[in-house]
This record gives sequence, C-alpha cells and structure tokens, in this order.
Amino acid sequence: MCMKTLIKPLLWICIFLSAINLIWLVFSSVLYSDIQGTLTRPPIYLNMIYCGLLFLILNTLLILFTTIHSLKILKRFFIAGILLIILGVLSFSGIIIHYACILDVEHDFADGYGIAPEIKTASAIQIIHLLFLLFALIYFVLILKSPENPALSKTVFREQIFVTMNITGIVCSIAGLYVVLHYFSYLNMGIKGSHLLKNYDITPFIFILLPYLFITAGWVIRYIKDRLAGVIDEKQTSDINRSGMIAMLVSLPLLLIIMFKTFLGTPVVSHGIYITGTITILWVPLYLFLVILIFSSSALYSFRNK
Amino acid sequence: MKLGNNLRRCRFEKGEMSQEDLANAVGVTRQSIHSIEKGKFVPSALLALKLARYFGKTVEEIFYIVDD
Repeated sequence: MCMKTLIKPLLWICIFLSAINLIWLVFSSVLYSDIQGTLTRPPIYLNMIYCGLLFLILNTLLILFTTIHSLKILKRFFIAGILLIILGVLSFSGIIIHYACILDVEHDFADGYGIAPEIKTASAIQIIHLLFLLFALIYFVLILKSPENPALSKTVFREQIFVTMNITGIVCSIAGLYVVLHYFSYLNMGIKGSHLLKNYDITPFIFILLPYLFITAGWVIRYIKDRLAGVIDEKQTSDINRSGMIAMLVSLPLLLIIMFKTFLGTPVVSHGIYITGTITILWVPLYLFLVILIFSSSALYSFRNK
Repeated sequence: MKLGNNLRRCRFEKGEMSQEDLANAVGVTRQSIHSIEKGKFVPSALLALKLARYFGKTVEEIFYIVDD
C-alpha cells in the first residue's frame, strides 16, 4: 500500500489518539489540581500520569510521521504542517522535562521538600501538549476534508479501515500491556487488589481501549453493510479467521505461564495481603491486551504478506 | 498441488484494467486480487465464478491446477 493511500488511515488514527490524549490531559490536570492528595494515595495514581506520557510519546511520533508524509501529498497545508511539526518537537521535548518534573515531585514530596516549582513547570508543559494536540486535531480534520485529499473507492476504503483497525490495535495493546504490567508491580508491593477495583483505576484501560473500540465498530459496520449488499471480502475474512486462531493458540499458553509463575513464584500472603490473588484481578485486561496485540499483528502480517 | 491463474493476463486483455478496478467490480479489496494473482490466496468457488463471469470466460480458463 503506497503512502498516498495509507495517509487516510493514519489521519484517522491520529485523530482518535489525539482525542483520547486530550481526555487524558484533562484527567491528569485533575490529579495535579489535588497533587497533595494524589501523592498521598497509592503510587498507582501517579503512575496514571506516567502512562499518559507514554501514550503521548507514541501519539506524538505518529503525528509527526503522518504530518511529514502529508506535507509531501498536500502542499496547500505546508505552513500549517511545519508549525505542527515545530509544536510537536517542542511537545516531545516537553515530555522528557514533564517526566523529570513528576519524578522530582515524587521524590521531593517524600523527602518533605516544596514541590511548587516542579508543578508549575509540569503545568506549563501540559499547556504545550494541549496546544499541540488541539492543533493536530484541527490540522488533520482540515486535511481529511480537503479536496486535495481524493475520495477513495470502496475497495481502498475497505483496505484502509482494516489496516487502521489493526495498527490501532497494536498501539493500544502495547500501551495497555504497559499499564497492566505496572499494576502487577504495584500489587506485588502490597497494595490490595480490591483497592484498585473500588477506585477509578480501571479508567486507563477504558481510555486505552477507546480508539480501538471506535475503529473496530467502524469496521464491523462496514463489514455488515457489505454483507447485506452481497459483497464478501474473502481475503479479509480469511485473515481475520487465521489471526483469531493464532491469537487463541499463542495467548492461552502465555497466560498459563504467567498464571503459574504468579502462583508459584510469590508467597501466598505478604504483609497480610493475599498476593497470589493478583492474577484473579488483572487477568482480564492482561489477556485482553495480549489477544488484541497478537490478533492485530497477525492480521496485519497476513494482510500484507499472505 | 497449487492453484495457478491467468488473472493478470485477463486484466490486461480487458483494457489494462487495474487491480483496484477489478476489486471494485467483484466486491473485494485490491489486496485480495493481488494475493490471488500471486497465488498466495485461494479464492472460494463463488469468487472464482464471479471473476469468470466478469471476464466472460469459464473458471478453467482463469484458474488451473499446477502439479508439483
């Protein structure tokens, strides 16, 4: 698939991820507004800000990649594209400073020092992230509506939505697995699993899954409409079937290994907490993201190479 | 045994039509046509018949068995 036809799915992915990132920024701003409260809660709350930054790194790289390629195709948006790239580079550099600020806040708070300067810096950088994401959203929506961006035939659209769905699946599942693995490490530090469920700690999973859910819904609607019109894309159906089988065959043994490792590798009770029960809390997101990752990678591979 | 095909030749005989145009005509993706032409994907009887009907040929004129 050439870059000209790949640009549209990339634009959609960037729009979805930017929208999710914006929600995340608002969410972390809420955490910042009560930073003392955030820091005195279990470290999982601070970790959500870290997760948002990881997601922002992936998203920024994707936005920069898409913008650079869109400049080659859509010359009318050259100046806006260059501005977006500059903002993107600033925002990307800001992520590193943002990360350092949060680390400082965490350590300084623990040592009893003031944290106001770091919070100010982090908040200022949040504004740069916010501007970048808003600008990216407007830029990509304008490009999508541009007459220079030619309307696609049905067959190319079918391909693009399939590719978009799988690329989004890979990005979202990597971010999701990162969050789940961090949850595991916190649980092993002695935080009760029930605490995770009672509070808003499920939120990251929902944020992470949202782009994938939206695009999958779009693909399903397209697929059903095609079926009703008597159109069956056998190759796509075959790729989906093959990937489903691979995802099941690979993820089940992996999950068994993780489960046995958890049950056999940690003490049953530590600090009065039933640690071996952690797998019973987190196996759903772990398995879900693992399956999405294997399924999407396999479907994309089959689509391109089989 | 593998399934060979003359799909590429048929496309060129029909005014050098593109994979995308053929895909649109039979209701699949361009990637499907590409994979069939390359022999990486074996179409169903329904799709083979659709392709044959589109080119006004028999299925055997488009698809054939390649012995090892």
